[in-house]
Amino acid sequence: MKPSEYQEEWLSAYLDDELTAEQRQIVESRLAADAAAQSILDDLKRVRKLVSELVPWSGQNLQVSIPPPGSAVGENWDASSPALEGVSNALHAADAPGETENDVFGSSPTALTASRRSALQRRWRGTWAVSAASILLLVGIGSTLWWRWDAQNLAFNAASSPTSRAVQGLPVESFARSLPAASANSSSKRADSELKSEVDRLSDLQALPSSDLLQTQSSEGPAAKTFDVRTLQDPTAAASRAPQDMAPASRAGGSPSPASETNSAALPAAPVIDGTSFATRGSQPGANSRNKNSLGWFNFGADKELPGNDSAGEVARIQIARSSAWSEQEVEMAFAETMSGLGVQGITPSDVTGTDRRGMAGETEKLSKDQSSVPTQSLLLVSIEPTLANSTQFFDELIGTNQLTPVAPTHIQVPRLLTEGRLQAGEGRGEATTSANTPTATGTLAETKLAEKPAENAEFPAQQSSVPAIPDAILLFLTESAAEEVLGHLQQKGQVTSQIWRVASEQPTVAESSRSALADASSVRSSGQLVDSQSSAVELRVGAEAASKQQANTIGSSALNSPSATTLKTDRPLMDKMERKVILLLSSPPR
Amino acid sequence: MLSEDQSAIDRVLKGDSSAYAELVERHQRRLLGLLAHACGNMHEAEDLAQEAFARAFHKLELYSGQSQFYTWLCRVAMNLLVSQRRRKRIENQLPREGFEAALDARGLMGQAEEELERDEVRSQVQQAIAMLDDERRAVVLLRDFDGMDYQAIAETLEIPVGTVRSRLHRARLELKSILEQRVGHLGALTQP
Repeated sequence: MKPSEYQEEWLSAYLDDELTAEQRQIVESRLAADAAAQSILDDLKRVRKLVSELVPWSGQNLQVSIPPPGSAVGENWDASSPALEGVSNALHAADAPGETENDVFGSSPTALTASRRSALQRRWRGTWAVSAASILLLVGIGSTLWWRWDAQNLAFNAASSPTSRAVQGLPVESFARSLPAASANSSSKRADSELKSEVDRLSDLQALPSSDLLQTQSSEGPAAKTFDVRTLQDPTAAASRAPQDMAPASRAGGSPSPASETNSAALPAAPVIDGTSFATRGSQPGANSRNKNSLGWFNFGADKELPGNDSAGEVARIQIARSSAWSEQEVEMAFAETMSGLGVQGITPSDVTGTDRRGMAGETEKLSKDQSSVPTQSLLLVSIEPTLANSTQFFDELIGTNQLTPVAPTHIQVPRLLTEGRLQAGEGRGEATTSANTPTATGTLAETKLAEKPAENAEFPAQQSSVPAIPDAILLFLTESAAEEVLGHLQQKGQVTSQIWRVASEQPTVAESSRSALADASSVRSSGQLVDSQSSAVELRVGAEAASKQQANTIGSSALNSPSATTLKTDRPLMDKMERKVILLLSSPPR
Repeated sequence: MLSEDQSAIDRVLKGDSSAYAELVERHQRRLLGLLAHACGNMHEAEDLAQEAFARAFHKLELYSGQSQFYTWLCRVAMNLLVSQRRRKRIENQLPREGFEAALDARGLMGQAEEELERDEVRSQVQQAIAMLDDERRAVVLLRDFDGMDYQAIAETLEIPVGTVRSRLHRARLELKSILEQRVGHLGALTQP
C-alpha cells in the first residue's frame, strides 16, 4: 500500500486531528466522493462522543498512604506495606481510620479500601496455607536432591564414603558399628548426629541396585526401609566436619599442606576424590558417556537412581538471566548459594568460565559474608514442557519478553563426574593420588585427593566439546512480581506442566509451626497452579530447628505421601519477606 | 501543570517525599476515572491507582521528563492493569472474568438519580467497552475518555503511533457494532 493511499483507519485519525496535511486532504477527498466513508465517520463521531461522556470519577479521593517522611525515591515504599504490618487489625476493623475522608492523604498508613483489605486477607491466609503445604513438598524436593548430592558426596569424600569402604571389601555394617567410637572421638553432638545420619544413608544405599552403588556389594540383605527423605547437609558444615570426624589421611596422618587447608576451608565442597571408586568405575564400559538427564538436582522428583555406569552427567548447561533488580554480583552469590542449597557442591559460576575454582570460591565466600547484598532467596521450581527446557529459542524468548539480561555463566559441572571423566580420559586435568588403608579417627579409610590443578588448567576448553549447546535448565533471577509475570506467561501458554514449588525458609523458629503445618499440608499432593494458589502451590519454611533427624523423619513420613517425596532442609534462611527477589528455576518435568 | 509537576518531582527526588502528595492530589481523579472504566470496578480502580502511585514513587528516578508525568503514570497503571488481568485469568481460569464485573458497575459511578436516560446510555456504553479486549479498551479510553493525543497514548502503552491509530479505529468500530446490536442505530444513544 502506498503511503498516500487512503486507509479507512485514517477516518478515526481525521476525527482526532492526527493526520498530516497530505493525509487529511486525501481523507477529505474521499469523504466528498464516498458516502459510505462519510457514514462511517459519522458513526465514529458518535462513538467518540459516547465514550467521552462517560462519567468521570465521582468517588472519593484515593486513600493512598504517602511515602513516610524521609522516604527516598527508589526505596521499596509500597502503599500496602504498612497495611500489611497491621493487617490483622485492619481486617477486623469495620471502620478503619483510613476509611475516612480526613485520612485521604497519608495521615493513616493503614488506610485500606475494602477490596484491598479483602485481597490482603486472602493473601495473608494464602501465605500461611502455602507455607504449611510447602513443608511437605520441600521435604520431597530435598529427598531427591539429597539423593544426588549424597551420592556425589560419598564419592567426593572417601573418608565418609561407605561406597569406598565397600569397594575395599568392608561391609557397610562394620562402618555403622564403628560409629559409636567415632562419636566418642567427637566432641560435637551435631557431628554425632550427622554420623548417625550417614548410617541411615548407607542403609538406603544398600537398597540400591549394586550397579548404582559403584559396584558396591553388601554382605547384608536389603536394608530396612527408611524414610525416603533426606536432610541436606550444609556443605560448609560438611567441610568443617571433615577434618574432625572424617579426617582425610593428610590431616589425620600428616601435616596438612597449606594448599589443602585452603582448599577444604574455602571451598564449600573440597573435591576430595574417591579414586578407588573411580578406578572401579573406570573399568566400566561407557563410564565416560554423558547423560545429562542424570544430573539430578534439576530433575526433581521421580528419578531416584544414582547415575549409572554409563551416565556420568558431568556438565549441565544452565541458561541464566537476570532482571535489572539483580546485580551481577548478587546473581553470582545467589547462584552459588542456590547450588549449594540444592546440594551441588563446589559449584560456582566460575566453573562455567573456567576461572580457577578456588579463587572464585574465595570470592563467593567473601560475597557470602555480605548477606545484605542478596536480600532474599526464594527459589521457585517449575517444570515446563521438556522441549522448552532444551530450547535456546525459548530462553531467548524469555529474555526478550521479560526484558532480562542474560548472564554469562551458562554451564555448571558436577565436579565428581567431571573429574571422573577427565581422569578416565587421561586428559591430565588432575592427578589422583591414593592413600588407602590410612588410619583415621573413624577407622581405616581410603582417600584419594585430587592433586593441585595447575593454574593454567585448561579444564573447560576440553570440556566444551562435551557440553551440549542446548540448556538443561534455566535459572532466572527476578523479582517476585516479575516471576509471577513469567509464570503467568508460561501458564497461559500451557507451557508449565507441573510443580511450581516455592522453596523458602525463615529464621530457625519453625520447630512447632512446621509440625503443625505439616498436618495441614499432608493433603497437598501436587501443584500445577500459580505460586499463590493455595490449593496447588507450596511455600516451605524450614529452619535449623527442623534439622533434627526426628523432625526430618516426621516430615518425611508426610512427604512419602506426596507423589514427589523429597526433602530439603537448609540451615540458612533463604527467604525473609513477602516481597522479595526470587530465583526461578525452569527445567524439564520429572521423569 | 507541567512545571508544577516537575517542581514537585524535583522536590521528591531531593528527599521531600511529602511533595509527592501534590502529584497524587493533582492526578488521582483523572487516573481513577480512567481506571474505573478500564476495570469496570471502582474498588479495583482504587487499588490499582494506589499501587500505581506507589510504583511511580519507587521508580520516580526513572522518569525522564520527556513525557508528561501523567502519561508516565498512566503507563505504570496500565502495566499494572495488564499484569493483574493476566494473573486473574490464570488464577481463575476464567478469561475476561474481570470484565463481567463491569456489567455490575453501573450505578457505582455516582450518577445522579434524575439522569436516568443518560444513565442508561452510559450503562450501555460501559458494557460495550467492557466487551472490548484489553488493548482496544485501553486505547479508546485513553483517547476518547481521557483525551490523550496519539503520541501520549503511544508512550503510555509503549506501542507505535501507527498502532494506536489502527487500534483505536478498530476499537471504535467494534464499539459501534456492539452498541448497534444492543440499541439499534447509534443515533438513538446520541443527543442531537
